[in-house]
Amino acid sequence: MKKALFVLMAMMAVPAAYADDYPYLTFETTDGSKASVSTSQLTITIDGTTLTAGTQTFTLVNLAKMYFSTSDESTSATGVSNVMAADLDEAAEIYDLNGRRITRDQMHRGIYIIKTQKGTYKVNVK
Amino acid sequence: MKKTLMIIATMLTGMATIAQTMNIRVGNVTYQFPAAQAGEMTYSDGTSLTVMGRTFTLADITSMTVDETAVTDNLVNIVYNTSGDAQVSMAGNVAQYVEASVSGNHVTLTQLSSFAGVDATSGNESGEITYQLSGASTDGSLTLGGSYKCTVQLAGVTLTNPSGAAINITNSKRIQLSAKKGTENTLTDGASGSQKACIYSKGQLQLQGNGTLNVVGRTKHGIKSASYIEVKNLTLNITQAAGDGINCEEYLLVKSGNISLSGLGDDGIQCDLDGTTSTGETTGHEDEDSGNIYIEGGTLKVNITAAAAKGIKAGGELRISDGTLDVTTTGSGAYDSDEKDAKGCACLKSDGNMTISGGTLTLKSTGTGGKCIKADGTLAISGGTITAASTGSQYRYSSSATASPKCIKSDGAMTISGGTITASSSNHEGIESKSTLDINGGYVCATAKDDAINSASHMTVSGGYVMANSTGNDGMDANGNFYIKGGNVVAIAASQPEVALDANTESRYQLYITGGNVVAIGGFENGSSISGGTAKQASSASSYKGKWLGLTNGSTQAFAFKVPSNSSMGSNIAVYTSGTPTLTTGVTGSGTTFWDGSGSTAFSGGSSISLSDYSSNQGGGPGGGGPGGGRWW
Repeated sequence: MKKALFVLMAMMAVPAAYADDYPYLTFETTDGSKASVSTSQLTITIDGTTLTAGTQTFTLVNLAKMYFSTSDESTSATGVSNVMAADLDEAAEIYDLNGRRITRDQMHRGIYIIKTQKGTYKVNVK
Repeated sequence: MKKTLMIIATMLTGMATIAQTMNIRVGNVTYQFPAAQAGEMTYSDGTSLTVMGRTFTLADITSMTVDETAVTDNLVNIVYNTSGDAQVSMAGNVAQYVEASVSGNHVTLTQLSSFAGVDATSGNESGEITYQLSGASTDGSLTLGGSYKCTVQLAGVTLTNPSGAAINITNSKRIQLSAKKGTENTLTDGASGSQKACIYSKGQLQLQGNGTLNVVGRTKHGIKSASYIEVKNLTLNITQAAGDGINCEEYLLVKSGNISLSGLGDDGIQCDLDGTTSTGETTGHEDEDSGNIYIEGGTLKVNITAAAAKGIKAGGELRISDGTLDVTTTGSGAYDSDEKDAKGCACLKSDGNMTISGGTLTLKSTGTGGKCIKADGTLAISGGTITAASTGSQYRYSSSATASPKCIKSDGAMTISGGTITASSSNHEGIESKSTLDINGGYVCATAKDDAINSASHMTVSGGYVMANSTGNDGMDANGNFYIKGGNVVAIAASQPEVALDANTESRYQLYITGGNVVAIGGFENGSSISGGTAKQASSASSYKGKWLGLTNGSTQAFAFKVPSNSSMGSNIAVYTSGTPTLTTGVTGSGTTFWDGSGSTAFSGGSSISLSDYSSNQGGGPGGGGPGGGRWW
């Protein structure tokens, strides 16, 4: 029985080596910043000039590449843009991280997705 | 402990499935990029995305998802759909090399010229792409073009294309068309189309796999390759073809498998020369263009009903070394306006030489002018078991254009050195060579209304066991010299003027007996030259009909045989052995049996037949028929 167990363990080791698990898909923008999203049941949509992957939305022209990663490689600024107050004033749509559309007055501290005429941004309200 | 093992096994299964895949869908085509292979997927100018060498226009992308779909390298999966469009999924490692388009259930795939094989270590030794077909459609097809060899695997597909070929391969490289083990696949093309076949391949076609492929060809051939075809393992049923069942060029090789051909408008299998000059057989068939057909194994059942059609027809040589062949033709003769001659059916036909060295062949031709075996070149039989019967009458288009049914015929020299041959012809010759005929081995049993065995030139028997029984003409008729140098011969002729062993004395040829063991019911040709042994004779052969006779050479038994119950039979029984012959009636055969159960190597019992010295002038008169024994025309 010990032998069988050993064989099974050995077998397990081989596929484990190949069963690469990439729980994240990391997007890198042209400015070098990165944002990782979970690959679990991930759907990526392209709508006009924007690409949305999970909670992240990117302006297509700003995207440089994406790749599967084994860890969350999001930088602190990753996907988080500095938005001018004027831009915020022009925000047409604002979403929280749960995907719920909210008004500007409902924004508190935290991460939000805003869509303006210039593009879609992820903002960090402090 | 068992519980522990169960848990580990479960973990094992689970872990194997953890692998993310990026699915990029464009229309009905999904490109699948495993996370481990995808690498950096680069965007450009907000308009395109490049993954593993394939560039997508972002505006064309229908969807992008990540899931845990397992991806098999080199595999392009095509699933036909009776209630929607066909869906194509393509492994990421070949995505950059294959262009795919889907229109309803008509799928067109092109391997780009940049493709020259991918990772050879990925489970596909040759590194070629496999296109796997499954699902069903009543209005679908596969068109495969481009470069480099590939595999088309049928994995349970039922496909009908009402307006063309079901599978049309314009790629001129070697294509493996494989039926996946345990699957049944049915392909049907449309009637009145312009396609050359239900399955057409411009390149070499290797038909294989342990599954089943059913083919219905409504416009022309069932399967056509503009190059060679090889068959291995496959169970292939062609149940309908307006033309040939299988048609190819260069050469055809059947290694194994089960092939059934029926419902055909022309030949069962036809192979022609592609160019103008034959290369002959080449080593490993490399670059061969011979028009040859090689049958090395497998089971072939061919049923031919069309007029003047052939079961298996080689434009070059036909070589059968093994396998089980059951070929029947029932079609009548027909006039060939190209060759301006009458033609009959044939179970096996070669424009060149034919060799049979093994296998079990059951051949039957029932139509007018039909033959079981017809070699335009030489015919060499050295092994195998051949049971052949032609039952048709003569086909007559005009007085100068006729086709006579023969059982086994060659235009060139015929040599029989082995095997077991049982040939019967209801109306014409049983075995006929339009050149020389040499028998030096094997077991030959020929029964015919005309000459049982005939040669247009010299005939020689130097070995083997030969029974030649004619119910209306000579037993063995050489239209040149006739040499018996060895072997064991029983020849039976109809009553005079026919003779059992006939040489063309009218043209100053002669029968020479210098060896062997011979029984001639109907006698030797007048003026025979007999040396090296002793000839004797008896009379009243008809009194032995249905009885077993044993021939002894000195004190050694030669063989025993059963006298047929022909209505017309020569009276004289001439015997020859190298020692003193004795003939015994009422024996019981034993030892090895042959001649379809009418002969044996040993015997016992019986009583002696009184023999008198043979006189060369006491045999039959000149044998009937000239070259070809045309008496029955």
